[in-house]
Amino acid sequence: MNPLAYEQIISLLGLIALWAFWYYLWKPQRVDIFRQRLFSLRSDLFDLAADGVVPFDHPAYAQLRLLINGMIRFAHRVSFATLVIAIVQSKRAPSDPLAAWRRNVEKLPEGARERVLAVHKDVSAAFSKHLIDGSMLLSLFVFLRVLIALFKGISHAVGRKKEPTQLQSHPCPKQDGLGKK
Amino acid sequence: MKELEYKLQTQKWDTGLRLGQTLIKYAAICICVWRIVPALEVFAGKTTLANFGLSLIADLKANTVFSHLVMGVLGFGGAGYGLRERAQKRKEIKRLGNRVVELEKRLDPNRPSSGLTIDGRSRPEDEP
Repeated sequence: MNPLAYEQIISLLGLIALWAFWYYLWKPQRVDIFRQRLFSLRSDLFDLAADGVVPFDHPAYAQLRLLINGMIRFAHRVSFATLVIAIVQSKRAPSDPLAAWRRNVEKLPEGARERVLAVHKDVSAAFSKHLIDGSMLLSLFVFLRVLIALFKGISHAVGRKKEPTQLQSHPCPKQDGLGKK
Repeated sequence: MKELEYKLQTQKWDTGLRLGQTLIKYAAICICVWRIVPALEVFAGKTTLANFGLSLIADLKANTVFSHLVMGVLGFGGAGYGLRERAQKRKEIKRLGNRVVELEKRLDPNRPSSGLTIDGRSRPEDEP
């Protein structure tokens, strides 16, 4: 028995198993979870309209529903590469659907506007999470940004703590004057 | 005209991306198969499949075989469990989905759909 050939076969079988796991189990599962989240948000939006908060024929409702439907349909295509293409292409786009939707949202009464915007915010959050979780590059980028922000926060907090001790060692003359009175 | 040009350009990018992703997917498996064949050829004519299995066990230490077995059972068991759950979920979507659509259409007859299949899968024409 050739142990090197055995190791090679086992390693390659492992790689094939990983390939099958990634493409046929992990990716579809992630897409299903993302779609489930979007279905639930679409249902929340429908409930807003059913409760009379937003009319069913209001463009803000119709366009947001269309956006969610599009995301549900193409959830399996969401990736870092598609994001890059979307950003590049959006600069050349002849119209701006997001700006049009925002203009329509502005026409809603305040309470309704806030609730529609909350649904949109949740949709964006779900999309971002799905996108970042699916890309090693984006996950690394986010991790580093969080780390930097944390580091900055800590150094800022340490700096703030030091400030009062400096003041105590050099009291300002006005305070002295008040003390004398 | 500008709109048409934009759509055409987007479709070109999209087709290129789909092609690239499909190439990566199948190239990876092709490389694995391409590398596994010479490794298997080492045993060609020298051993049978039964001998191969036996010598594997003989060559390996008992604890290694045991750990491989445990990992295999856990891996395949987990994957099987997940697939079974997913099949069950699709059944439920099929059963309940139509009812939700019907109820929602009563309130909003112009209700647009996401266009997924009845059991919640992507449309075949949308697949890369």
